[in-house]
Amino acid sequence: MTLIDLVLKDHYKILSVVGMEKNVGKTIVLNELLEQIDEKSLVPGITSIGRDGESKDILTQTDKPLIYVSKGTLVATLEMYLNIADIEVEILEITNQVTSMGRVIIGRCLQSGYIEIAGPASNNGIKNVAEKMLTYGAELVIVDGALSRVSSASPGITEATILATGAVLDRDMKKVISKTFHQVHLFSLRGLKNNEVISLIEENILEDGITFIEEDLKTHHLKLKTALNASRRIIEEIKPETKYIVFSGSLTSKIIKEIHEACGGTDVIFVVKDATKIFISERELNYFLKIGIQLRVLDEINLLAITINPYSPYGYNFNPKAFMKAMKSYFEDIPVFDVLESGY
Amino acid sequence: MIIDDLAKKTLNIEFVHSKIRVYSPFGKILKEELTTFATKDLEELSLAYNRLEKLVKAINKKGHVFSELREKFRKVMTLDQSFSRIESDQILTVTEFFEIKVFLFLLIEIENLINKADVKLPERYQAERMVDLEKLLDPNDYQVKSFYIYDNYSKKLSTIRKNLKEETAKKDKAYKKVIEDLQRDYELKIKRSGEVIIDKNNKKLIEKFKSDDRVYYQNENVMSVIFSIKSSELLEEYIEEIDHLKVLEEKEVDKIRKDLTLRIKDELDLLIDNYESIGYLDLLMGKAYFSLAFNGVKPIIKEAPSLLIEEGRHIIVEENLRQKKKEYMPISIGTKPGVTLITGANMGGKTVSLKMIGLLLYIAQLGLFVPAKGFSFYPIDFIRTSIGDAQDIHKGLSSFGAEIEVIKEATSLEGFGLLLVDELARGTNPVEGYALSKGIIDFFKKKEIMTIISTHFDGLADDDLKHYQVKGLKEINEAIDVETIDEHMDYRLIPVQSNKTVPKDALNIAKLLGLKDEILRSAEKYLLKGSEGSGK
Repeated sequence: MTLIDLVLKDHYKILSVVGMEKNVGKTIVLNELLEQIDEKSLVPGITSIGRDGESKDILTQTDKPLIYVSKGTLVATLEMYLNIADIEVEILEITNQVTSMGRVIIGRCLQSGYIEIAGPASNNGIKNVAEKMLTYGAELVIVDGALSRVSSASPGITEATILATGAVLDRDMKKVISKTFHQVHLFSLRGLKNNEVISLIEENILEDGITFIEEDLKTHHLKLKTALNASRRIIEEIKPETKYIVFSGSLTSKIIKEIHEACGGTDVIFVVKDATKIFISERELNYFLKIGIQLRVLDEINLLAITINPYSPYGYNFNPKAFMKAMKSYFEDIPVFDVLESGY
Repeated sequence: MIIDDLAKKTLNIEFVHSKIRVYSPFGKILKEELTTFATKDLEELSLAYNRLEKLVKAINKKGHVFSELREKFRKVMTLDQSFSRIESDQILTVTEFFEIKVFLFLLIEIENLINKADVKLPERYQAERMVDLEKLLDPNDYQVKSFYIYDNYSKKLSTIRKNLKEETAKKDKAYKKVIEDLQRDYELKIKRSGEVIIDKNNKKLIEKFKSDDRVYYQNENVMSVIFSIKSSELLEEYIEEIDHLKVLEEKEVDKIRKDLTLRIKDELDLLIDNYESIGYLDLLMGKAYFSLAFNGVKPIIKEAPSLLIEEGRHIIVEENLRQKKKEYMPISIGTKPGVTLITGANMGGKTVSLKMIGLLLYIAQLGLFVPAKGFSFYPIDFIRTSIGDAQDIHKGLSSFGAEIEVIKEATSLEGFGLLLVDELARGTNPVEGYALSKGIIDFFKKKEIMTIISTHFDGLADDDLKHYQVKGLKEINEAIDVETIDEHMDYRLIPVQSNKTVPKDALNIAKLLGLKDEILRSAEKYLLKGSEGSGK
């Protein structure tokens, strides 16, 4: 079964691709997906989670790849990229999504060729342009996602996610597999089930900070501009009635540990936006889960497949077959594809 | 009208502006620049009221049309930059053409809605569709809000694109054939990129590929050898031709963009007029909705300096009260150049009434309908205030110092204005305060300024002055608290004809609020002794 068959089987309309690191072959996956969509004669839409912050930063750090699109493909990308694109694009809408590098525009490619894709930086923005592309006629929207602290948007807002991993993570294949396994483990974290709490969080969540929710749904906030002394300040705010601690940003093992030590025995539930916001090692995660610490996410990530790249730009490679075999033995339920193998 | 920062703050002018809502980019600019009418522009002000009256009536009749209009206004994008780029002969980008096209489509809808609204307004408020530009940016009459440089903009472009399409198809076909042949010959799938990765162990296949002149050896690593599809002479030819055509296409597109920009420039004045008309209508509607929201009345402009408020309402206090589910008691007052005194009970709303007078005059002179049952006035040149809280921070002076400062400045002001003074000379001892007040009143009663003073001092009123008194506490006997005193207070101002003394409501109120009897009895004794000059 190919990637596209997997997507179409469950009728997903919005799909994200995230890479464990640079050079894991995410661009190859994106281009492959677009090619497969083309072969099915479907209209694809594509956008990419942009980055917040200074435009200079983005210019130097960007690894936004050139994407090959077929005629008819819908894109949501920056105005400046449309102006320099190799191909003619029909402008359909200037969205109200504005990044530090300009406005995000939805267009239809009138020719086949290469184009740079950088879309909105926020969850709502991505959701918004993805849905708009569907209304303009896209049949499957692909979001070039990010798996980093830098980005505020998360793959959790798409219906399914493809995780790209590869040899570049470590010279030791075992370590690559265990790192990937850990990420998949995080992706499998359960979502909050209490709808009242979910809508409360969606209404109240702060940009930088922590929200505390009590049993009777009373909330209060703590603004945190820096992580300095964060856990001490959080601990001060925890009351016996506190039931949920919601982190708008990232959650580290240090914070969990210190809170647990200070308020041991309490059954508070740690909540984050999604699994990409958690920075905890595999060992610690297992330990936390064992001692009964409860971690929940707002957006569950639906992992559809894993792609592997046995080549690393650092001059070492894994045997593709051996790598594939090892991956498959660890991930029995998740389809694994080799990005360099033809026709996956 | 000149209104200094202190008065602006005291009267909460910002609130008024914040309640005038606009949606279009030019409407927002106009709102930023919104100021009061000057006294010399009486005629314009009168016309403004008439326009507003028409619009208010139209909104009352066809509200849904105007809500739709506002939705359209919200969609108008900022075009100023493109306008100035056109003016300075810079060439617009495709996105800019798109924005102008979206605007042209909006114009059609706006024109239709204005027709539906059935209200006759001057030209400045009428946006009109621009058929020629519509044709220019929608040459195929698709009537779809999208844009690119269409093929039929020039014969040359359509020929280039036609050739480009053919050459690309030929190239794709040739390339596809190579891929298909290879796939058939070797029974493996080859990607669009044309790369083939072969496992090193598959020596036989590698040898075959090495001797196949449709591919070339590209790269290898420990595990595999990578081959790529060789560009045949034929493919090269196509690619070269495509590149050549692309260059031609870009040149032609640039030429067309220049041409389109020039043709828009021909109609730029009208385009800008339309863009601005939307802004003018947007702001006028903002004013109309303000008047509707606060149940405003059309002001009557008098021939001579005077002010008459019938059941005026302080809209901020009214809003606050409404949130507490309480009702605001409208106030009526009339005044003219000279001094008007407001006396009355503590907690009798004198300060709010003073502020209301200033606020309503400002609203009227901004060209808005006034939250009152009736409002007639003659436009003024300035407003000055010396009212409680806000003035204490004025230049860091004590409240007495700040008050004197305002009055000093007001003495040298020329023209017709409004001076509001709350609790004149309250910050000083009663004897001197009384004397000073007399002096100030004597000065201002000869001036062109409408000076309205609230005071506790007895005996300030004389026959030359207008005098209003807060009606005060209703008949009650039970004890009350500060929170609910408003329920027992009649805030209305009653004109006082004779030279009456200031009512002694303070003791009464203190008693109702539950101050110790002992204190009150003692106070009454002093009161009976009768102190000359009186005081607070």
